[in-house]
Amino acid sequence: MASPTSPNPHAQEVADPATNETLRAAVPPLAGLLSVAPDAIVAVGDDETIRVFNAGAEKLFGHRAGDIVGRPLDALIPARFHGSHAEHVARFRAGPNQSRLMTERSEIVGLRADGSEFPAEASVSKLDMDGETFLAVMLHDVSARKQAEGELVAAKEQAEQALVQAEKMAALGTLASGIGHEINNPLYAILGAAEAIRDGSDVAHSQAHAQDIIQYCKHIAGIIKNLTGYIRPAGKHGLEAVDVNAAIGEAVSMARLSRLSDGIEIDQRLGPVPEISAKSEDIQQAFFNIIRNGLQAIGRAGRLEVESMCEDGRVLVRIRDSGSGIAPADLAKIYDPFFTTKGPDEGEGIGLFVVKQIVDKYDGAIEFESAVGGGTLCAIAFPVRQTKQEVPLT
Amino acid sequence: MKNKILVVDDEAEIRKTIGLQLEGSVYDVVAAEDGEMAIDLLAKENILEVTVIICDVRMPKINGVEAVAYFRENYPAIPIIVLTGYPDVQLAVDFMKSGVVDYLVKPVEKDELIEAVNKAARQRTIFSEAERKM
Repeated sequence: MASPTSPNPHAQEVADPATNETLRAAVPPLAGLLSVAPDAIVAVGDDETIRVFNAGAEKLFGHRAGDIVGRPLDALIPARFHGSHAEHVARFRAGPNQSRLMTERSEIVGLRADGSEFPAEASVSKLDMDGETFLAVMLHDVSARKQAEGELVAAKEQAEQALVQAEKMAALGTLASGIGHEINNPLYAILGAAEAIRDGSDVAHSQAHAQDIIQYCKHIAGIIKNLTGYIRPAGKHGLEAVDVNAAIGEAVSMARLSRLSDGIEIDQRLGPVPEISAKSEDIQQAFFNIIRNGLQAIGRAGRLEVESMCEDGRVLVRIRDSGSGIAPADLAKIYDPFFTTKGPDEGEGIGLFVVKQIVDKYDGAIEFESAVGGGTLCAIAFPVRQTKQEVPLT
Repeated sequence: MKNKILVVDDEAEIRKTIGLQLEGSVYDVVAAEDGEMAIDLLAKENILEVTVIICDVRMPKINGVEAVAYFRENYPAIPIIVLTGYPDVQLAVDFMKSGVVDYLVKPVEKDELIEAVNKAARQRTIFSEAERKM
């Protein structure tokens, strides 16, 4: 660091020889150093006027040194930063630090001769000479880097969007093949029964086949109904009093209809619970999605328990399955859309995402407890419906 | 004696439908709910009476891919027809390479099923005759 008494290395950059005697007396080789430095170097004296303005600064700001030296530093700064800049300068002059990176405080914006602005990175150093404190600022334009950063961010966002889109398409493909399988089976049964009616002559047999066809058609309708439940829950208007136990019953019936519960014992222990304020189809959907997950985790044989109770002004429902459980690493991701550990045609990974949306919509709460191989417990709670206070007739 | 067709499918309605479609034909249907049950059944049945196996793909316990591999390994004389509700080109290619005689996608019409079974049954006959001569 230069001592106050040493010859001033910056002196040769003084464009106006009248401004400072000391600077004019600097060592000649250092003048060349300043002129070839790629960064802009600007120095101001005690009066905050520009004393040094090197070739880099001329190129960066578009001012000729001869025109700018002697003018206030504010000439290089957009007007909206004048006040804050003056404060920073005063604080730095009074402070103990000899140098600092100006970008530590915020982004530096420079003002060119043509009035345009540019983002810059700068450092400032203090230099005491002959009782005057010079501030030397070294700065370089970071416009190109900023632009590159901007382009990178835009490219990243684009890539993320493409990924989300690809995931959606993959989900759609999975959904389509899943639907294909689910519907092709009953369709085949309908075809077989219709052929049997066509080729047979026994009226009783034909009636039985026709009855089967009706049942398979209802089965397909049930599948479609379940699928349409995959949409995001709609608005909050039109809330009604919902009987949670009835919603659980409906969800269990839906699960039975979709044949997920074959071989699985479903134990319902539903206690007396007050009504909640919601849309019944949303609540039913939430329970169905959780129960379906439970049944899929159980697989061929096992047990699923559903219990309901009233606790602390909330209706609490616990759904416990004896299935394969959730790995700790996966537990944090269960509500993420498209996150799934199921097979390619068992789900699209949006079931619990939808459940979370429904729970949040009705100010509810949901928690999962699980251990790999030890089953999963889902606790879901909704606030009890507030009934209007009756106004006494007086 | 009628020829036995072993139907392996976890869906009761499918087993019933195949039975309906083959009703009145020369074939008798024996059914298994999954691959495991089919393997047990084959161990008990008189193998010579099982003409053709019709096997589903998506099943619990032992799925169609595993079941077909087992049948090919242990009962190479019995022709296999894969019957699935899950059309997948790669799966079809893999099955054909493994030696199944047909890959049908549900729903399949009665005539188409009978034709496929007849074709498979002819192969079974050719195989058995070749075996006898050896």
